[in-house]
Amino acid sequence: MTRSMISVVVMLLAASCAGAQREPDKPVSDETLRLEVHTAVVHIYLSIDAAEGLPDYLRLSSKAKSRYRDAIAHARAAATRLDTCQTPSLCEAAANEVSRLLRDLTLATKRILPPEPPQPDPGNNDCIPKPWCPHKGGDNWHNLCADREPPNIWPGCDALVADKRFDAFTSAAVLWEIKTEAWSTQSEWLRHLTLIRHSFDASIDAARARRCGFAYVYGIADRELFNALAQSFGESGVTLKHLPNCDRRHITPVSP
Amino acid sequence: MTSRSFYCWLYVSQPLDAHVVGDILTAIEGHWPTPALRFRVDDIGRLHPVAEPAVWWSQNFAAQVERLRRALLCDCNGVEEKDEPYTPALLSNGVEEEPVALGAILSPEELRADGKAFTSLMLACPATRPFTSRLTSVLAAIGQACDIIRGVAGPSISPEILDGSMPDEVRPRQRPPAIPGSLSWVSYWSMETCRALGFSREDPRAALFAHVVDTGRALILQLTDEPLDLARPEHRAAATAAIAAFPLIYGE
Repeated sequence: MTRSMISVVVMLLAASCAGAQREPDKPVSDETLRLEVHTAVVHIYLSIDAAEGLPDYLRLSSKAKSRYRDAIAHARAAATRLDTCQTPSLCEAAANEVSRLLRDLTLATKRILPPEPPQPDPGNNDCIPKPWCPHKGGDNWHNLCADREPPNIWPGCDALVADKRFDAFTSAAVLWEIKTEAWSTQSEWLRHLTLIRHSFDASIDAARARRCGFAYVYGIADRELFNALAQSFGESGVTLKHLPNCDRRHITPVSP
Repeated sequence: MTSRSFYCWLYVSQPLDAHVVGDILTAIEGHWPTPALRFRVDDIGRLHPVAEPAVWWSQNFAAQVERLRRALLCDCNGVEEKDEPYTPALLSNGVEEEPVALGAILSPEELRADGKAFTSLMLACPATRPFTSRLTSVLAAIGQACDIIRGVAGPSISPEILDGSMPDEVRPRQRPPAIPGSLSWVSYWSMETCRALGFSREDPRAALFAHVVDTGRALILQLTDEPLDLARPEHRAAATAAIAAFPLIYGE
């Protein structure tokens, strides 16, 4: 199981979560539905395969695998009916079925994720981390990095702690915030602003994490930003970590 | 546009009201060839003129303090954090080719420990003459306007930087507020910091620095004549000697 394989799974999980947020009354084209079904089916298969190589906390039981395979078979059959329907009433029925199965699949995906994270302070409910799907912001590169690097025990999801959505939560009870912007290429104005804002945000979030008994890491993709923050922040109570794999300038275009 | 800026971080122990900020701005504008810092920078980097920069700055910074207090004291009620637009207090001179900026963050550790708020002032300037050559004058003037415990300006140095093994992770150090986290091209040490380090103007280690300015409230130590460039052998030698001379800063 390679890291890149896990990344693909994580990205697809995130895509599925995004689909689940669709407003129920909003009209969706058949093409969109077909695409979502395809994505969900592929990612469930990948999840099942990938789960063999994942750490214990993400591994599937054989019963769960069987359940997902049944759900996938139903979804595929419904998708085929949608593809081949001949009358408006049949197409509408197929579309409704696909839509329902898609929701089931997405829910099934969420069951893959571990149900209970570490709970350091049961007396204070807002300190119990809760998965919050999907990641805020819709930046796939950032979200992939947040899932892969710490690594996040809830891929595709933020962790809600003390009213704050952190980018990731690890099995070692560490909350993460990830910054993937290319600071080095920003204008001077924006560089100053970013430096101040990150310094302030990190100090607030570290305080929240500490209050709830969690460690906190501020992960930064851009080396120059990491160095600049380290100069001002090395003794602030915040652990900074450079994440070279998350630098956007390392993105390789995918061949068509 | 300049390629890079010089960052100065000054650790200040008093509340920064509009009066104090006004004096700091006067110090900056009086020593550097810059127009007044009368633009605020919004959250996407656009500039907006501000009629009373010191008043705006202190009010905006007070909002930062309030947010931090809320986070520390937890008036949480289980509701997800609102995505309020947030712009840190940041003033700029509005000159794209030679940007000068003033901003600040609050240190939560000290706020929590004894109720006192320590502020890290950030001052950014172009990494070019005459800004760098007048840096110590600006720091001395700001040091007369507010109580700086210590400060760093320009590139910092450490054994890891010198041997090229700059770590990928920086963990917080547990040090008294008066002890600096590192030496920089220019270091600002208040008398309190000098006492904590066992250092004075007469200390033989003062000879390790190219320039030592005694303002009466602090010593400002400039390591080399020109801004620190570790590609230059004489600068590396100066940095290495300074690191070895201050085990209270770099020791475990």
